[in-house]
Amino acid sequence: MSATGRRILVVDDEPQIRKFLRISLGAHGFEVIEAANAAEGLARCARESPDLVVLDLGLPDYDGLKLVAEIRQLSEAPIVVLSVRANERDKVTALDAGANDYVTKPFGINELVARIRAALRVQPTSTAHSVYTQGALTLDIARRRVTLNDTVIALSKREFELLALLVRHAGMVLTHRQLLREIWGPEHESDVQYLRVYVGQLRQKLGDDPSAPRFIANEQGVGYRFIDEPGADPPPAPH
Amino acid sequence: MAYAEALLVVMTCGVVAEVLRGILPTSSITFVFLLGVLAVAVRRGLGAALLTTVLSYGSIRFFFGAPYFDFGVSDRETYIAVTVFLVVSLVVGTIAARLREQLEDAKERARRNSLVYDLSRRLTAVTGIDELTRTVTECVEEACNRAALILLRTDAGLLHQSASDGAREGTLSTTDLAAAQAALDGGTVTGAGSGRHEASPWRFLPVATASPGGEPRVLGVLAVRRSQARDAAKQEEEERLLQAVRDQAAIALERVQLADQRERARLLEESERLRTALLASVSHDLRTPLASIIGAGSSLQALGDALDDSARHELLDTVLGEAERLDRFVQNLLDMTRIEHGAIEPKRQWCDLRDTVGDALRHLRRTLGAHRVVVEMSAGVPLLYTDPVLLDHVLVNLIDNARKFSPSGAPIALSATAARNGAVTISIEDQGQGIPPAERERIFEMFSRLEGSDSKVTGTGLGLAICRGFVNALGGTLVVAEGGAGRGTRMVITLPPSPLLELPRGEEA
Repeated sequence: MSATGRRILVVDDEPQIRKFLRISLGAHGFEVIEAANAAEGLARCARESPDLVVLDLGLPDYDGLKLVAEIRQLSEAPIVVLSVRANERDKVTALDAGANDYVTKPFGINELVARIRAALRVQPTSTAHSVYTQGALTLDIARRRVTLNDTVIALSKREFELLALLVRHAGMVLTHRQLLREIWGPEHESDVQYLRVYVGQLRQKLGDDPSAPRFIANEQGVGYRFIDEPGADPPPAPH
Repeated sequence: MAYAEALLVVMTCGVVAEVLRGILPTSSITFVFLLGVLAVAVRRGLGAALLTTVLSYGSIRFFFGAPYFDFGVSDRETYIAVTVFLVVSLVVGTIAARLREQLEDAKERARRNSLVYDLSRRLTAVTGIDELTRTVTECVEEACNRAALILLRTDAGLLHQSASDGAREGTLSTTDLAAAQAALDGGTVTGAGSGRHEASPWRFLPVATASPGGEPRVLGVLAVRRSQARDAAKQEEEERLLQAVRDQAAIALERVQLADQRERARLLEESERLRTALLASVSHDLRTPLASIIGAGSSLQALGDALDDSARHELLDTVLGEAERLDRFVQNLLDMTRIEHGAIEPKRQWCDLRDTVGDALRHLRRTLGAHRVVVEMSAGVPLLYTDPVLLDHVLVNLIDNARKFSPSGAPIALSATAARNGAVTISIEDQGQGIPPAERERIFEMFSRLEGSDSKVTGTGLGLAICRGFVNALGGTLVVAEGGAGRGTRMVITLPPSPLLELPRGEEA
């Protein structure tokens, strides 16, 4: 999709990070504005209406999670948060507080661009699209049909709902809680075991290998993501 | 009680004598009562014996000397017999009572001696100062029935230690403490009965051993409450006993203190070793990737357009790859620090092992390169209630290790099975050179590396220590076993069974 003219606000206290983001996101056709702290970030967000915000959760002068909520109040723009490794709880909290996706520091630029693109593309409330195609997979929402390489795959009601939800947000992470609430209802929002079972079944039916997934990627400790850029590099080993 | 017994004995003798009345003459009947006096003297001591004598004498005169039921005795022979009885009875009673006393004394001495032998035996087994002071003070309390305290020399002055039940902390007054200090400094006995600090209710005996120079080293003071013994002989005996106890305490104390010092020295040495290894590791393992990054980066900067595309790509690859390596190392250090501080808190959730293994393999895809990992998961492996991030980390480390030690082309086998109780076993097997049984525990220590291993092996030496730390935090175990068919290495993770799981009911298609 075309990125021309989309405005991205980068909020990060590290000048080196801002520099490389300015250069590389700029090279991808985005207009990049910067903020070095929370106050500046909020001010620029209000004044200049960015199309997307890249936000460092580890700002020294402000609680990143509170900042997510405050930006959310100012703007509908999607938020991609930058978070350090091994902080899954913060990632989940940020996502539940209104962030749309996350990237773990240190990160490669490809990964960030993939998240930005996915976040800019997704229109979850739109019903305009009822047929989604990802590679060999096609989902017909209206007719509740899934075909893989033109073969129809039989899915149960829940399996289909789960797959459809993931596909509608293709490229973006959905937390366990979001998935469970949407499909099983709020009273089951902590029953991660349901997801494990159903994703396992989906994978089997779609022939998706968890060690080299084509469709459903596991975001450890956070949720799941439907893969929309099969060429994108897998994240480097976080160990 | 004793006196009631005396009465009873006299009555019994009376009955017996009555029975024998017709058979024996009165003078012989007195022997029956003599037996009674003897019995009471041996059993109950002098006082009761005297009572028995008097009662018996009275009974004989009253019941058996004519006229009967009258204390008067008409018969001259009987009179002599009864009087002789009285004298003999008194003498015999006194001797018997005294014998009894000596027997009691001998028993008491034997008890005390056995306590002292017992103390010697118990002190050889004692491992700590508290145990030692408690053993000694209990012995003194039991042997002499006197409260005891042990005060030990500290770097500054004296330190209160344990007390037996008879004394509590803080019962020593300032004057008492001064007396104790005098015993410590001078190496002589102070307190009650010593001529110094006489007013104190305590007696202070210095606990000392001989040092190589010949000068006694006073390690502490044994404080015992003043003696309750009535005669000098008993007091002296108690004093000898206390000295025996004190001497044994000295030897044991010295032994325990030396053992303590040795242990502290060992711990110090161990932490020195770790610190040295850590510094060496950090210095080398941080600098090496940095050297590559700075080298490649500066080349890019300096040579700029002079480089062709592929050269530039290669250098950039180096920068990225080495930076990732640096990141891994920093993460290792952080993890190790968390483990050492017990700061690992698993964030458990229901996980599909297939997911976790898949993640681990994905993370390693670039590193694994040509190495194949063959995954075999038995159908019965249930969902695990565990921390997927920690488990992933462990699997990544172990698979990476297997790769490092595997000859290229040989597959790495990862298999998972479930036991009947729900415990899950994951094993990772390589076809490398294997680990000799003697090394199988040592490799889990921080900074250890395999002796004589292929020098191409990289790594910080922390990986396995971290794996074990994480697996332990998850409630499981990690051990090394021999590879199948006697070659290679097999790492075996065992995770505890997860709680019962409620799964969704059947869904409509």
